[in-house]
Amino acid sequence: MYSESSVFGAIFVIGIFTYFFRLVFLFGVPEILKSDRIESAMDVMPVAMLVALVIPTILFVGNSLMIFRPEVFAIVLSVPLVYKLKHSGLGLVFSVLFYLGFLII
Amino acid sequence: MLLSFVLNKVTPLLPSIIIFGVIFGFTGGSSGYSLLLVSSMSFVIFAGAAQFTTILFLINSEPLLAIVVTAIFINLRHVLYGIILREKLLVKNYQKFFLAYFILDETFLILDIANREQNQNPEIELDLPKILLLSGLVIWFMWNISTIIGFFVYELTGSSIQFPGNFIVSASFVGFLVDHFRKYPQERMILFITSLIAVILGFFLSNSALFVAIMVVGSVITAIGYRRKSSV
Repeated sequence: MYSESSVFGAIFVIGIFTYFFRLVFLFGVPEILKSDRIESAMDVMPVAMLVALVIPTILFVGNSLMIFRPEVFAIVLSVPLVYKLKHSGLGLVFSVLFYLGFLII
Repeated sequence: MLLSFVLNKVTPLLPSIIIFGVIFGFTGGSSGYSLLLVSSMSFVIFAGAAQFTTILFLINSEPLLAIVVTAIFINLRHVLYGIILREKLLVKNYQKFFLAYFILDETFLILDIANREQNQNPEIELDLPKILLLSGLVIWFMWNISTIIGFFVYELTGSSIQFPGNFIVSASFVGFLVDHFRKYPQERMILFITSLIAVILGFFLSNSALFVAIMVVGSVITAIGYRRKSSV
């Protein structure tokens, strides 16, 4: 665990960069950034981010592939239900219910 | 009229903002860091995905530099928002310094809707900078309050409900991943390729390096040969 001051320093740097990204092109855009390809590349980041937030964190513990765990089963079982019910927010609800169900079993 | 328009557009977004704020606060509580530090993320960074990644990597004791680089990389998409919104936010330069803080995924969506409604019906006069300000303030308030509530929920229940590692975050975002898969068939190839890369590289890379690698690969593939529907 890091000291609170060093973590706050990191948070501050992230915050400054985030603010800079939001602000800088409100004043003007260089020609190079008006390319459709660059726009598409940036546009796809949220999708790639979703994958990055879900796949490695579910399947891996450290650098070991560990799929036979109740939390993995709980999340995987929630997938068809979310797909069928068309409501993304239910992923958490079903996963938690399945996980608690596995613990009880 | 403007206020009712903003409330009309923000209200449907509030449940997910509040739920994710509480989940973030809850995860922050489990990290062992103080409320001041956890809630400071919500008003200094004020970008959910980067905050989640930061707190997850802090829990996993990833190097601070890697955490900073990953979070900055995630927030690069705000550059795109700035480029698109530049011609919509016709205000004085000093006002841009203030409005920029409120450029988020959610406010961008609201501005997009407002812009479309205005284009469809030119008689409607919608002040986009004020819409950004008002919706940003509402979201800021709810996000910060729910972060604090989530932290206290952990303090009250954390010892009785223990979820493993990153379970809550993965379970929260898996629904969005499935939803994305269902709604955008044209992006399924990107999802498949990035997932495959995640599984392959998962054996070799740390979480933060893997995160950046997936995003870089996704972006490069898109830039090389993939066209997505344009927004706004």
